[in-house]
Amino acid sequence: MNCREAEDLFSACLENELGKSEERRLRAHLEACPACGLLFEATRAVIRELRLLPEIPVPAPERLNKKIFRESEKLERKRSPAEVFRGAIASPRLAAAAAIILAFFLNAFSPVTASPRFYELYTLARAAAEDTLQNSQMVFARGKDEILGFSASQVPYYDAMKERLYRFKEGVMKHGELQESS
Amino acid sequence: MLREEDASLLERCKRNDGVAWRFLVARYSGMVYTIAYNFTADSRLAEDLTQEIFLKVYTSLKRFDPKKNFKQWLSTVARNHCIDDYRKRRARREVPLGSDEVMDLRSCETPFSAYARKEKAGQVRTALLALPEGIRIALVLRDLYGYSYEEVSAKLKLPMGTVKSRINRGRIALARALSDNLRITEKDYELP
Repeated sequence: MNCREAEDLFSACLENELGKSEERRLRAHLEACPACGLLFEATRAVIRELRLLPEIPVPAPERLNKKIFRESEKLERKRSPAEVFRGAIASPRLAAAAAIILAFFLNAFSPVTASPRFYELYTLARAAAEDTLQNSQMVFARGKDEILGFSASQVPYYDAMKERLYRFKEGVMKHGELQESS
Repeated sequence: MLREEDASLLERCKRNDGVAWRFLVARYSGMVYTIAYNFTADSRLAEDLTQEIFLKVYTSLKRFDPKKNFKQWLSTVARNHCIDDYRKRRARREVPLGSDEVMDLRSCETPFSAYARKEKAGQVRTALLALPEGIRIALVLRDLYGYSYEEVSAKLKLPMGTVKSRINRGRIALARALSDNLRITEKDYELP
């Protein structure tokens, strides 16, 4: 048996598919040929390493998720308008959170407190209204009472905050309209 | 933050909840991309395939039984889609001729080489992705995803003998390329 013939039998031997006499001939060659012996063991190690590979992730490009969202939104737009509106407020809790936020800003549309806690909740509430919140239950559970408890007061950068609040209110209003029509 | 179970997310997706869908995509896009990349060794093609797979899933969500294991199902859908893509490209001759020939991998340098050099798994993947596609796909199905020889033969529509030969040659090519990194020494090759 030459080295090429031996190599042709490696996988069959490692997977116990070789007949006894062929296996004997192969093992005799591996004993006599150190290079083939090393290569045989390296092949055994490769199979082991390959079986571990599915658990090792490949870094995906950052834009990938956005592309998927964009394409699935295109598919969504092809559905009927009624189906889209019903789906937009699929979660009753998200709808409730959006309504609470809307009520808060309509009642307190003046400079608001600049406390760190407010900004945290503001960010959560905005994310909920823009459909980017990862768990709408979090806004509902953590935000409701605190948001309603804030009172308006003077803050610096009033104009910039006011503009953000305008934009935020527009986003929340959109959900409010959808809720009324569903 | 609460981690919502797949079954719950799927129920919400069936009610056209866009947030739940985004959550599912974010959770599994890495897994699907990895599968696609293992098959194609091409990041752009892997991206395209990943998109296609998720769109396929999106349109079939309403029929999915939430009691089944979503991750396993998604993995199967991804692999089947990649196999179909490979067969179509092969039929259109977009897979280079001679792609069942094995090259010497020891001098291969890929965009992932610098990243992979420090990690044994990364080195194995780099070498795997450098294999000719005809050999790599067979090896990926058999050794990464555990398909039997019969299944590989059926999926790739190739004779069993060809499948076995490609897998064997691919393994040996990787072994040659990686033998230093696998730390095989003469001491290690004592036969049982």
